[in-house]
Amino acid sequence: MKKIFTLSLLCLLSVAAAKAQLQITNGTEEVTNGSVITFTATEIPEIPLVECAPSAPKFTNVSGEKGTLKVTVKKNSLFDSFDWCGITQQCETMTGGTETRTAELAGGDYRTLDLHPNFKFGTYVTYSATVTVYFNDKPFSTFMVQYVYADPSGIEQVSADGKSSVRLAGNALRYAFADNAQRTLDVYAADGRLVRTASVNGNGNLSLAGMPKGTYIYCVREAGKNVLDGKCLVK
Amino acid sequence: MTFTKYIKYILPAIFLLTLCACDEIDEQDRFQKVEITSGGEGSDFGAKNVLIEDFTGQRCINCPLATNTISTLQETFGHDRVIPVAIHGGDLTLAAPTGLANAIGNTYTTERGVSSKPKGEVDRTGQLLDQEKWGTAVLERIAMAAHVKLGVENVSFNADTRELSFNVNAEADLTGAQGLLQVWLTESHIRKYQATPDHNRYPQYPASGYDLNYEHNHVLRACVSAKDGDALALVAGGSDTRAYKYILESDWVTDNMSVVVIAYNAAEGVLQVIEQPVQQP
Repeated sequence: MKKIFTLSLLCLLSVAAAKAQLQITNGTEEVTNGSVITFTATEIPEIPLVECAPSAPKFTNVSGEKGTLKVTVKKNSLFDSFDWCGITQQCETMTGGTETRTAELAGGDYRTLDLHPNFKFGTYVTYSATVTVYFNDKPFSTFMVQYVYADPSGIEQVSADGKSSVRLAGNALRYAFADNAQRTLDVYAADGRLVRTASVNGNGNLSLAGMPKGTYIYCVREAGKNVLDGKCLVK
Repeated sequence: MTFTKYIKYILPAIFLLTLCACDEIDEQDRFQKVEITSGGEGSDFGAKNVLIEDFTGQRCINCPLATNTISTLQETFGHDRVIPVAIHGGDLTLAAPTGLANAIGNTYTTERGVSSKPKGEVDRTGQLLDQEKWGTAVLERIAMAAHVKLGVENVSFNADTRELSFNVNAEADLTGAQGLLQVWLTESHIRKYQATPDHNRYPQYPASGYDLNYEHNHVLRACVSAKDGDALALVAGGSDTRAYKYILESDWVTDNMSVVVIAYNAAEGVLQVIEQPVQQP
């Protein structure tokens, strides 16, 4: 019993010692075990490009001695696409689901994660990854990073029963319905004119191509009742 | 009691340590300056120039640091001695027309097995190197004798048809030359998007993490010869002149373009490389 207690105490002390040597921060906030850090993408329409290249979080060796930092990134979905430029000074597109990088850190030195999602312009989606950190071969922390690319012209609308959703995707309204019940999707100009209408079911897109720029209102009707409506901006 | 037992060893050790000390060296004498000689002994053509193929990308945040390394090497050895070519292809790039990646860049990137960036190959010696190693690699090659002399002559550009034509001359010394002659077109001073390094560590770069107006130099635009070069077989003292022509894209600025000629073979790497501006000042 005495030996188990001593071993446990030693393990706790070694973890505590490791924790005292490395600090993980996102700006001024400390990143702790289980944290979720969220980054938001912005569009650069003149290129066109989706910019989301945060350097955070930052891993700082706060001890006075050299240490070994090991960081493993695991994509939470194999459909998520990332370029990893941090820890080492090499940028590489992640080809597998998991990748590990190691760096030697002098006392006071730091590295940044620099995990960048590869968003496709106009395809609004969220990517995420789980990051596991070791310092001097001891487990230090596990947290999640998520990167959100949302439609800057409007948010997704979801019906009260959760069965219908519509959002603007590029120059189309993307709809998703949980069942194959027949519905109508109407699009109105700001002056109330009906400019587009379609019978819809399942998942699909209603093209807004050719429509003049401006704000429009869309409505989804099912069995004569309005189940969902929202605004969208055609650029 | 244990301490007094070992005191007879500790005290002499401390005494010995006091006899050791660092020499005080004046600040001006701390580094030995190594003179870089012109090199090229054993050849009438003097020393060879050195090619750096920089595999890069507009979405690669660390790539501007490699560009800085190239600038330093050119300042150190001379802009006509270190010939860089920035090859945009594969991952971490932006495709034409908004980006600088092109088919030939994609091909070279794939064939050389480039997966991470920045990576460079110095003088086609067969190794992809991190940019921290480019200086050493250049130093190893810059003093070697050039056994091939290259020249670009009779450069002519038709603004209506946008056809660029020129001759490339290759001359061998008494050793002769066997290999390939590769001819590229590059363009500099291109202002386009570039992802940039961490602003906190490198404050000269924008806090946004990108520069929409970054100056891209030595960008590979086209291969005028065969993709891997045209056959080159020169006897001792022999020479050969070839005519090349290429239709330039409408957005390429001829004032900023250069012809890069590379003579190389698999065994020796680059035998010689030159860069000739299309428009003479």
